[in-house]
Amino acid sequence: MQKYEKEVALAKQEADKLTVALNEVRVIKTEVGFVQAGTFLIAVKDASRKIASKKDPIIKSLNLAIKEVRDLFREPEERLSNAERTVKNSMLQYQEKLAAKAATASQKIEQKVDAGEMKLSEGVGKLANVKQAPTVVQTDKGKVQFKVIKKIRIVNSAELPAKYLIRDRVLEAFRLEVAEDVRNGDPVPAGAEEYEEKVVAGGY
Amino acid sequence: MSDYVYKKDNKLHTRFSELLRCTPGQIQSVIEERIGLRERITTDEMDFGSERHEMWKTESLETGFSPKCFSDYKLKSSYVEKEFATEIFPDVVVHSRPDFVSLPDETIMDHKTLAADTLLQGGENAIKYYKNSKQLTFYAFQLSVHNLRIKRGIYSIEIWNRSRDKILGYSYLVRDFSMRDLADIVPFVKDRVAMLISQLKQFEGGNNAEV
Repeated sequence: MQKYEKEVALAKQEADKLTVALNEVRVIKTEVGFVQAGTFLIAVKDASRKIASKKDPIIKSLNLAIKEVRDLFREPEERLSNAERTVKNSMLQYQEKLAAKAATASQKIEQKVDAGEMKLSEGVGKLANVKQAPTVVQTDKGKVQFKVIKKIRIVNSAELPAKYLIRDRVLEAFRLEVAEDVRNGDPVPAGAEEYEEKVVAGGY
Repeated sequence: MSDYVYKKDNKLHTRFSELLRCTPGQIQSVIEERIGLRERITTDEMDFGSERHEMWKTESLETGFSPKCFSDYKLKSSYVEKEFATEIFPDVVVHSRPDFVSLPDETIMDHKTLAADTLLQGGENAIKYYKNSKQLTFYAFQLSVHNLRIKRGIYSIEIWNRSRDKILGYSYLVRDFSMRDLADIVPFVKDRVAMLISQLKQFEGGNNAEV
């Protein structure tokens, strides 16, 4: 990052100057001080803009370079990704076929035990010998595992315990959705309220 | 609980708690215990648990039901701490003593004690300790070899405070067993038995020693 030393030094200089000047406007006691603070705020905005004018072209060119490198590799990567997806699907289908076969064999044994046609001890012994679908494919370069990952999906949000509704992440998601609808003209719904927060906007 | 008594029949006699320890990290201590080089470690907590088990056993033998304190379940007893010796593979006999078996309810219970700061913490620890436990699945499998069908296992847990002078409450972990669940424990047991046999052979020069 040495090649950007000059730009960074200028940015630091701007920030240093205004950081020192901040002490003069930090506490406002008079109307003159109030105006000085406004002038200072505009100077800060101006300095930020100057820094951005140095930084943004650098970032833009880097982003462009990243995009170009990604584009260069995209096609072969996509082919490999498709190949991986295809073979995984084929392996899963075959594994499921074997699992179904094992399940059918197991079911027959269990039915015989339940019907009293086979002793429980014999049934469990036979079940233990039913060849199960493999969960690992071992190769000399490594192994491929079939894993069952447990996931959660919401099937009826109305039935969820209330404790989930008051968690910060959930409340923030609600807030974002409500704010968007209100911005688009919906009335503020029950359970939410509109309030005002004063901010200082440095416009010029 | 008294110790297991093994017959001199040239068969490998073991118990599930021992098989659980037949892992690369623990097999050495298992072998040393078997050949008398080391005594099994006992702790105050284990002694405390044993005393409670004696009390539960006495109660169930008297009443014919599961201990009253585990009030979520009232099960009719079929066996209370009865020792089952089962030749699960040729020449391999596993001994175990399930705390409580109810054949009418097709249920097996294993009573536990644990100490915690609060009932909630105890309940959470109970889940942590026993959610992956194979103990009751194995007992259910073992009973199936005797043609006794067990469809449900209950870890019944008594939670004490840390100083063990007050019971905070009770917790239960319930597991249903299909026949497939019982069969699925066989490879695990086979692996552990194989490790025990190979290590015994290495230490004793043969698997027909008196063990």
